Amino acid sequence: MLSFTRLGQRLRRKLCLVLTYIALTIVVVLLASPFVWMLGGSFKKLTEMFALPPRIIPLDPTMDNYGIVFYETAFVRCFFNSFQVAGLTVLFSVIIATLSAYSLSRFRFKGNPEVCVAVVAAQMIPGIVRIIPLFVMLHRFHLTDSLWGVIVSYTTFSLPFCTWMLKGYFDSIPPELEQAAMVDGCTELGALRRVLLPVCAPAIAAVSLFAFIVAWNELMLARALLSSEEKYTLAVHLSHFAADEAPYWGMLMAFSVLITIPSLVFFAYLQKYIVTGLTGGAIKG
Amino acid sequence: MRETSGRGGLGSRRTWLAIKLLIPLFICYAAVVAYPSLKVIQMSLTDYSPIYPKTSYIWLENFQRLVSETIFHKVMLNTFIWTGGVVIAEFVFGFAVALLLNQQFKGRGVYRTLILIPWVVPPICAALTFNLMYDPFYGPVNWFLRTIHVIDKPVAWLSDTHLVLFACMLMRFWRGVPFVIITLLAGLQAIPHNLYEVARIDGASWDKRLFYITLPQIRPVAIVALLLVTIWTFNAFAEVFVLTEGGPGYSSMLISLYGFKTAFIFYKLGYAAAIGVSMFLVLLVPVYLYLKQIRKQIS
Repeated sequence: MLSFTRLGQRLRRKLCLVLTYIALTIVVVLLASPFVWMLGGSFKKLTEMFALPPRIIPLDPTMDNYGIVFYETAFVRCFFNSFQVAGLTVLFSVIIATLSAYSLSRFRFKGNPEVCVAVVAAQMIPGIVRIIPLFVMLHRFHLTDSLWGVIVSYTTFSLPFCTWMLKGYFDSIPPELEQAAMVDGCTELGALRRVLLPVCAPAIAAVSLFAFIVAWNELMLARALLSSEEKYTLAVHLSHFAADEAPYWGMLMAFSVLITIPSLVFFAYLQKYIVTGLTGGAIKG
Repeated sequence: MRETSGRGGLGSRRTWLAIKLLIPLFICYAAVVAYPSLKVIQMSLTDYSPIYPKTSYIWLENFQRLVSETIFHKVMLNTFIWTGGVVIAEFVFGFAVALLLNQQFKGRGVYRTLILIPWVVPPICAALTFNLMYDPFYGPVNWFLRTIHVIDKPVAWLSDTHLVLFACMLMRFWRGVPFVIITLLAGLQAIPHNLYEVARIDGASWDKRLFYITLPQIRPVAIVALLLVTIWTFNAFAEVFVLTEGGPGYSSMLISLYGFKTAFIFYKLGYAAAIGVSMFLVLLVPVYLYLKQIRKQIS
């Protein structure tokens, strides 16, 4: 028999739930609105861009902006540049971070904590401090305008966080798994490849996404290092248009949407791994 | 039979393997972190500029000039306001949202995914969009504020020297809050349920449970996240670079942008190196605290 107080409790719990839904929906709407605005703006003609009252969905949508992006800018070439840079950054980051994290997690050697601290300390360095000497160094060797310089730099930018995240995840997995494999005659690296990595797929996914986002979005270094137009990444190319006296907003929005899509796709594909990967990793240390 | 000592370090063979595995990391580190950091310190003591053929050591003159320069004071102040405001807002708001997301309900995954959207959007694209949204006459921000009668005249978010820094901070908050939410959520989810059960049985109300269980349990995660976010926010560059280029005047100039401009627009690389070094000096306190926390958590 339900007592009065228990009925009150159930009502209270339901009320909490409804309030939670409402609050979270408001939060999501607020957080997503700029992206929605960007999307709507990419289909707007110039007249509608600055119209009152502001509408998210244009009354008279157009694909012209996208046409301009593809035919009148270097979008396609920059896309390939960015794709190369990001792809190789992810590849190198994941490989080096995995090897380093394996070493730091599974091997007890003198200086292990110190290396961990140094890896983490590398994250602190301000972008300026990193790129000024890099620029000077590459300038001396006439290597400034090179995508390889950018790739190596981005790999190193993302390595600390990636290594740290993977090490944390490795730490949370009992070493008995690899030991079992090694009893059967596997080497350490073999055990890493066959046993540990499949288990760590969520963390690898999270690390890949992080490295990808670092490389795909980065502006400061690329802007400083790359001077010839055919080497530009997407971010650099867009930043030049943005600095125009009278920017063509529709085109800028279309460009922005197109830059965001690969990140979104990658993200949607891996999103279920991200929180698991983060949870077991960098957070618990 | 191979040594199956799990995490043990028995045998120099394993130690040698461990070091071999770390070699790529060491190379990257030396080339892109250690050497440049030392080079920057060296450069800050010179008047190096690629457009002048002669470079000489001027020792601490760069720093003397920096300390007495009013622009530098303004830029530093801006950066402190920026960092403090953004970090506090991100953590207060982020913690509240993380608490909401920590409950079990249908569709939780969807919300969690949608909340990460701002982090995925490239900063330059976000800056362009915010530029449009902040338009005083046609932008949705002002339109919305007028509709709910908070303001009655158009507000020039990006041209008003008093408001522009705040407008930029809002954009950084928008971009940064998902990371804080997810990090704090991960920390909340690591708290064992039985702690709450015991408290509930003992009759503790929700605010007592919050203060005596949740906050202390989440403290290690929160501190690490707080220090990391503070450092990242202090170093922020892309937002102001694209949104305002530090303007109008220097009202939204942050120190990273100031350093960038000095280096790559005015080509005073020695002076810019000094700016970089001073950034690093300011960060020493949070960095030291952060590393202490990490060290504590490793051992």
